[in-house]
Amino acid sequence: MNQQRQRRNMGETTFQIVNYSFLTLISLSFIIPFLVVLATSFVSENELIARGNFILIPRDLDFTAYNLLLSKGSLIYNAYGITFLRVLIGTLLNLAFTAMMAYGLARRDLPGRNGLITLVFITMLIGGGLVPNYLLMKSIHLLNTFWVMIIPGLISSWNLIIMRNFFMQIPVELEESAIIDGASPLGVLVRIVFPLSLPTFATIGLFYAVGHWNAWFDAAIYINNTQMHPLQLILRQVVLSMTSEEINTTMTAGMMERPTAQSLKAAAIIVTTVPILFVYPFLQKYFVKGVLTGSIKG
Amino acid sequence: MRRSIPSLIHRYKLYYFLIAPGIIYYLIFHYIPLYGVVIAFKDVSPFDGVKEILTSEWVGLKHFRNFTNSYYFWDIMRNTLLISLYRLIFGFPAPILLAILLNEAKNILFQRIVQTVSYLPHFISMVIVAGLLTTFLTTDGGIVNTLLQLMGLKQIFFLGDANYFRSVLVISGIWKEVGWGTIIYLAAIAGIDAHLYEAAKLDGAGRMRQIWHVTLPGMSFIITLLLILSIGGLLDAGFEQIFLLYSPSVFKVADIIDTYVYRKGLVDLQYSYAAAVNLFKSLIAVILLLGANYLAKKYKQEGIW
Amino acid sequence: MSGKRIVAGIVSLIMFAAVIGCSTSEKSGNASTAGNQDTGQGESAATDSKKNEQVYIYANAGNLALASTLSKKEDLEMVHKEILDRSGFEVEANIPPKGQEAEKLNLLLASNEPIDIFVGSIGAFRDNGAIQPLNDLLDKYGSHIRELWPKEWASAWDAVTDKEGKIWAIPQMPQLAEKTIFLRSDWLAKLNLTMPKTIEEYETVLKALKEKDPAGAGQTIPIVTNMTGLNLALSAGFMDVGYGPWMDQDGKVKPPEVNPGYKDFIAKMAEWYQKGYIYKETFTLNTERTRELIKQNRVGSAIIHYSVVTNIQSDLQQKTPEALYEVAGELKGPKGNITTMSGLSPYGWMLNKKSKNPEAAIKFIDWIHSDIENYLLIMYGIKDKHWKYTDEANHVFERLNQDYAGEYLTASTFAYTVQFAPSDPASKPEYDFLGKYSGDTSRVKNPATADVDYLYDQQEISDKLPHIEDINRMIEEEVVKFIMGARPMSDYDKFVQELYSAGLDKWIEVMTEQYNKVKAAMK
Repeated sequence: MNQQRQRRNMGETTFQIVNYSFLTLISLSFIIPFLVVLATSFVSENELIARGNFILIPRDLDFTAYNLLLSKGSLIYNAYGITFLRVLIGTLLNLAFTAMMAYGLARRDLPGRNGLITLVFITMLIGGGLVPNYLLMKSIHLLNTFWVMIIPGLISSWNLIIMRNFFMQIPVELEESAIIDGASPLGVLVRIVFPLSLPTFATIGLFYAVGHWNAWFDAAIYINNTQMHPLQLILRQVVLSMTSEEINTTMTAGMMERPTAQSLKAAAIIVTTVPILFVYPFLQKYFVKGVLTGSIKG
Repeated sequence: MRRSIPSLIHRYKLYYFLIAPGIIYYLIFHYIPLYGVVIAFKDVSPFDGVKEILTSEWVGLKHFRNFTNSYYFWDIMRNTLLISLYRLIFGFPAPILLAILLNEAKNILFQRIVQTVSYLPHFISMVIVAGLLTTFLTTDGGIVNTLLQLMGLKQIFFLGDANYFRSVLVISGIWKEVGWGTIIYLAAIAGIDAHLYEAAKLDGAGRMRQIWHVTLPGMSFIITLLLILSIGGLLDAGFEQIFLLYSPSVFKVADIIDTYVYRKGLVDLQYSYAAAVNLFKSLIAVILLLGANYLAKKYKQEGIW
Repeated sequence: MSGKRIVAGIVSLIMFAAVIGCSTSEKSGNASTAGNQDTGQGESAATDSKKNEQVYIYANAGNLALASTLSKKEDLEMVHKEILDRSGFEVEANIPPKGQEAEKLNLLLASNEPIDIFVGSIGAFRDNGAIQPLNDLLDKYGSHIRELWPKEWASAWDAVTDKEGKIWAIPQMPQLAEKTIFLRSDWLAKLNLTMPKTIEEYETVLKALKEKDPAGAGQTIPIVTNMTGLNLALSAGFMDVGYGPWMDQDGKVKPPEVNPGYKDFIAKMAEWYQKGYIYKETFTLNTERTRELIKQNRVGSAIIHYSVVTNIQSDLQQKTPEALYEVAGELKGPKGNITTMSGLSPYGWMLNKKSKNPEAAIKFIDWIHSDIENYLLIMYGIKDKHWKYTDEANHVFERLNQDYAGEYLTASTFAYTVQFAPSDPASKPEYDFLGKYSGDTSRVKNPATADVDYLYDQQEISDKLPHIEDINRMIEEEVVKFIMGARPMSDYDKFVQELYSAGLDKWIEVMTEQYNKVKAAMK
């Protein structure tokens, strides 16, 4: 008996060592390129030429790239503001509408369920194209408004189906007991399902939030007013202007101080990624295991 | 306790109310613009408005036939499917494995740090990743080739070599997305009843058995769903990454449907052709999805339907 | 309980956002559908005559693509007013999203937004009825436009005119020879060599570059290039005609790849690649990385689009002051001139068919083309506020700031480009090249069908050759293989056979038909 336990303990330790080592190693593979990007954003042109592309620690900190990106004055402040607003409001609305529909469709005995799912998931595969969508936005007066960044993308079929299948894992007995006590489906969703599905909501919420944070195409096409452009769009425009392949003859006259294309692209990534990295740790606690424990018994 | 029929319908009615806003959303924003699909069966220019789209002539399956009759049709189909399959076989299990390993690392702080670090590649844009890869793999002083030389081996022009290109694609694709992919599996793991683990331990199950009998089954519903969805996306082999990395030397193994249509579009401005190819891809996707869903059902899993 | 609070929270956030959303769109967008940034519209309209003619432009001249930021509001208004005062026209500029200029234009046209003027390739626009012919308008209001354009470039007007004589656009650029061979003349001097005049001399240079390694540490790259560069800057030296479709003895139009001279050219390139003269990974380079290599002081010669080199030469010189790239102007191949003049391109400034005020649009363009000061105004802003002359007589100027980014630039034209120059020394190599080499017809060859192919019916070609992309891919793929040695030159004839099986005979048939049709119509 003792021998067995000893063997198991050794196996256990070995596993832990191997696991921790492996995870550490791949973490290095993830973080080193990122550090290179971080370093590149601070590197001056001279150093880049001298030391090649793979720089981990810059010799001198050069802020040209950040200056160019962040010194747009009101334009960049607006962009951050718009993006924050978009992420906040967009994600809340996304979650609300997606959860309602996902929960409704999670009901296995709902008549017509399969048809409705088909309705939803077909939209993942085909779309009308840019022109019909643009004309639609135009006709319902969504063009050039803040809401055009939120409403057309209100529900993502992918997220919807995933959320629904998560909801389908919740033991039916829990819902039944609430219904017997007189709760409406909405009530069940909010009071029973939501607290039990925090990981789900956190995950889907994260997907939507990051989607909003990174989005630029809808604003590029539907919004003319640069005061309403989100962060990614503004940054993208700056980067594009510096990395244009075609430098047309008549147009380059009088260009001011410019950073290298690489540091600019790198700085753009840092500017957009770092806020997310700060937010994520707060969400991690919602992934705590075992929320379901005891709920059946209790 | 039996509920009477009216109260059953009443109960469902409220469910329909829950679903209704979403349905309205889908009808307006996804189904109204759907008339644009007809351009696959017509000859439509990029600046045609509603009237022109609806009233121009039908050309039937002309664009589809042009696509399937193309000299390179089988080449690009083969490449698309192979690259997607490689990504599926190697890339699909990767986040599952990583999620499990993360879950087994008992130190919470370590877990959280590794998790956060694993998302970083997801946020680095593909353009930069392509640049990093090129620098990494170049024969002109890149790290990998320098190592090869030190070991006495011949240099390899990875991005120009048809034998290595797909591997570079798949491996770098996995590196980029594996961390982000663990999020959803970790959410599933979080939903597993802790008592199940205790019960397994009492039955004398070691770590491996616990993973096999508790963790994996607890994730199976989402694994199945994501597997079905991935199979449905088999004809999307990763346009942006391939476009940024490929060159004529590797067309043979890397030219996929989307890159081919893209190049044609540069020459032709053929809106309708691109629409037709997309429709073709959607059709195949539906078939694949139905098939995958059917298989899932056979194994007593829940899929999309 | 908590559910109610959540709902309340959501509702209040939505109301908050609605307020923000509405007020922001009011603050700036005004009621103008063109969505411009200008809010001064109300004031200037009140001061002047009530019927200010409005001209709507789509600002895709390309200059904005390079501006990292748009104009400051006050400066934009200032320029707007100045244009109005001087020309009598109110210009509304629709700013395209960078990277999505073409899509946005299509959307605007499809949704009937007011747009009068934009630039692009006339083909698709004309064939789909999106633009209108300009003959009458030019006759009535376009005298300055016609006058400005030099006679030597008259062929540019041909490019935008169709078989029936209808003019569809105002030309922007004449034919230019944009691809060329640059050599590091300082290294040549170091190696005691002179600018090569023949291919053999060039080979001597390449050998010396490789062996003597002027960059040091084995870092010298004798040639950096890409397929387009090779084709347009060098291949003509091995053929009787410029790179492009040619007329075979059997009276049929064929692609350059089956020209026997081209085969010799590829054989030579394969030889150079094998000897290590051509950068091993050259066919995977993009412009950015090519520029990096040049800036790293490693590249001996570049067979490439001129701006890749000219626009960074000053950057290179900051680290290596003696570095200098010069055009191999005297280099000739076994069959003479090596550079191919680009064909006539049907590209220019077009007028929307649904334009509400076409006369105003043309009059405005005419105004622009009447005086270089007008041009400088719309492009760079107000004199002495945004730019100033350093040499007025020669129109050499210097930009003072970037407060005005150039949103009102329309009808940009090369005719003006050669009339002024920025004082910034970094631009000098570019303007030198354009002035000296790009238009010089004595050192180029024309593609054989250049006199007619711009008149081909592109729609018909597209219909009859749905698989033209297959041929393009095969050519791209296989030629690179031959050069890189992945396929032996002895296989070249087999390659031609493969082209036939991919549909080359159909290509030949259709192109020959087009050629004959146009030739007949021209008689």
